Amino acid sequence: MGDTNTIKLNTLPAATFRWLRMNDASCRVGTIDGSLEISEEFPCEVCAEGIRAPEVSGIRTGCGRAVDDLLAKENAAVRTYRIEDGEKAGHALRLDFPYGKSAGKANGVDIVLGAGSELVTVMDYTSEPDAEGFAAVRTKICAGAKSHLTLVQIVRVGEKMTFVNDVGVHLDDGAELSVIHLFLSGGKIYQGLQTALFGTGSTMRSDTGYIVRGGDLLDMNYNAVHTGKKTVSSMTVNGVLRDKASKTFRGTIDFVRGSAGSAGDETEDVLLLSDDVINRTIPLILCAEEDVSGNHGATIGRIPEDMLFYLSARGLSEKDIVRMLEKARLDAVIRRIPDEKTREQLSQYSK
Amino acid sequence: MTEEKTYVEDIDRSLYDFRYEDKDAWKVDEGLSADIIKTISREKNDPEWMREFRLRSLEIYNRTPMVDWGPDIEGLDMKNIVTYVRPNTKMTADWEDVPETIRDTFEKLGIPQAERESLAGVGAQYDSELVYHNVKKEVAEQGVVYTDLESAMHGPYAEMIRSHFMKLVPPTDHKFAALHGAVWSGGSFVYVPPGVSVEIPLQSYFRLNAPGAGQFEHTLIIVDKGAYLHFIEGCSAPKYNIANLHAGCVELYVGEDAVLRYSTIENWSKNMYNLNTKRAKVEKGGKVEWISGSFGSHVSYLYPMSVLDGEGSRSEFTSVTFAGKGQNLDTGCKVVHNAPGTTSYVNTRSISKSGGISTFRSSVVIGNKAKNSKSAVSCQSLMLDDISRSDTIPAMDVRTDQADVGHEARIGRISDDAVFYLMSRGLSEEDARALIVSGFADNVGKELPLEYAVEMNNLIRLEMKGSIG
Repeated sequence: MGDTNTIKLNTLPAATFRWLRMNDASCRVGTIDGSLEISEEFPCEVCAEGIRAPEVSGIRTGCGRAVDDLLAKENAAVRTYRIEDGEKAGHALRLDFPYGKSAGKANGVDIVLGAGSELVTVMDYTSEPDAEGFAAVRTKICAGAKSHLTLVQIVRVGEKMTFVNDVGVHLDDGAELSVIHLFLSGGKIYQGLQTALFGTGSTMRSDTGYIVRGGDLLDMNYNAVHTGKKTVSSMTVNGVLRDKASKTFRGTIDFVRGSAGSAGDETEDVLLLSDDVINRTIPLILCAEEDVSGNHGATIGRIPEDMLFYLSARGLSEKDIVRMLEKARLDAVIRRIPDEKTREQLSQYSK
Repeated sequence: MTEEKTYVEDIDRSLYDFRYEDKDAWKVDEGLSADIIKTISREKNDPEWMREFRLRSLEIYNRTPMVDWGPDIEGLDMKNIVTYVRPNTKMTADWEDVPETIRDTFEKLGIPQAERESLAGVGAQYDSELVYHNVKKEVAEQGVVYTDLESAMHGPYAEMIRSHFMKLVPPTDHKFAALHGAVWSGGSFVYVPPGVSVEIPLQSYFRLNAPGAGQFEHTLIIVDKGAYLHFIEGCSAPKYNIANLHAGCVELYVGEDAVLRYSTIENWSKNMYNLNTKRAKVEKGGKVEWISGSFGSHVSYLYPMSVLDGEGSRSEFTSVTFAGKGQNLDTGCKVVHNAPGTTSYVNTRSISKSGGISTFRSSVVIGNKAKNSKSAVSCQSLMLDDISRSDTIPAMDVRTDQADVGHEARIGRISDDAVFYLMSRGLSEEDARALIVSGFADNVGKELPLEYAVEMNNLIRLEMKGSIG
């Protein structure tokens, strides 16, 4: 049984002014009474086993060591999903995490892709609307040379839940990773994503969409560490804040010396729909290599007046305009999900 | 075609790297203690409140932890720093009365010439004390006060100073603000009365000559309602093989509808720890413009801060930072939007070469009261080789939906396409690359008065030209 305590996670790779309180996040860990039984649906090309994959040891995650320590302390169950060299999965690997009425679970997921393999993985975290408690899932991925993984993670848990979703990825030569993150509901969500672009020519693209409402909190820490040559990363984050919502986005492109020919790009667009929201953004570019290109752009604010005027002139009420823009932000991310079944499940959030 | 690397020379500091023995100077012992503080206070004939303020600041310093998020400052040991060095002279308003070696120093730096040609007033500080202070008669006749802070504390502006001194940057702000509060010496006090426009700039120049010493000047500027001032600050020091420290403090009060332009060309030597704090408070409709060039120092922590307290107040920050061998320059700015309709604009460039580390660090905070406020931040970094480092760490905290915040950052190297284009127009590869680097840093140069753009040229353009290997 785990005790209630607080852990520090989502630590910035390079700290800044302390008074901003953005250098890391504090997460109150509730009681953990075991691991959730994951509902699995996997294609025949994927084999599953109940032991840790040695390939993922040493992979660092976005939330940081505190989550590793927590899972170790709670002796959390780890499931490993493996696809062999050259295999292409016929359909998506679906992992559903139905927390029901109460959480208190910690799980580990390891995914190993052989060279040249292809896989779509959908991880869907759900609970009853009034579910309470703490849950954590740590996913570590080792992607072999020229493998291709699309990782879809959807968080739609209850407003009283605290949920930690921590991801760490290692990409070999030419490996491609596409991450799709949707945060649709949840009391306190802590998201970490660290991608080690280790192999030459490896690429990472992440598309994130969120709606945070009520007094909910979303705290994200995305790091793309470019170690290999000619690596490419792209992070796009689009979201909406309502009511008294609070969101922090830490996004880092880290060009390590030797990552010549690499490029990184971050874009964030935040729509603020209430005067009581808190939006915090800290996009870092760390650069120890000359031959690289790094860009970041952020737009934070209300609906542009000219857009509001244009749409109003076409007969839309302000409420309709807001709803349309919210949906448009999510739809842009949902459309990128390659699994039709998942897209259908999310149709209520889409057009 | 074999691609040749651009090589850009380190900034030539020979212009600034000369020194005179400080045998005639009087100094306190190395280190920091209540006795040293009391000695400084006695030497400076402080009023009682200032003496108490210094001792209180020392207490704060002793209990405040060292910063743990920026460049390494382990090489700075306060036990080895002399906090007060008084040159063997009194402040004067005539260069002829300044001792020859000191006058020669400022002549070499071009200060008297600049005063004659283009300035409304000059303050020149040598180590811990001002040695020269003068303001043109016609400017003084407008009611403009430009004097040293120590004299002002005993004159008709004593109450004004007491009510503003370290109120924007309290000693509790950080460890080196506390240090400043304890040992400050020198600096300037400027008051521009309502509606007065000072057409040509005032300048203070700070020269640290003594090895192992610290310079802790305090600049307090109050620009009253509807007034205008351009204030220029310059600083340099000869290089020694022991650490020197600069922990100055600048407090700017910009009144309603007033405009203050504050320009700095910082060129400390490469043994200097530059831990400087600058802050402006801007009232309704007022504007502060920061123009900043950071070229020297071994380590810099420098983030001028604008507190936009009045409705419709504005802040502009334009800077260039050049980090060469052995330098770790952590620079940027902070803006706090506290009132409706406030606007901030940040435009920075940084260049890293020969193992230099340049970090752009900023924060933009838009509070809930700052409805209809806008902020735009643009930072660009140029890496000139693969042994240097350039980081950007911008933070934004927005707490109202009625605000618009934009941010863009870019990092990269000299574009081959741009070089190719210029070469196709007849430039050599050397000249093409030098031209691109020079143009990259021109955002600050074009904001400075011509004569200071020339100093910038000394620091960047001329050094870059013809330095391709």
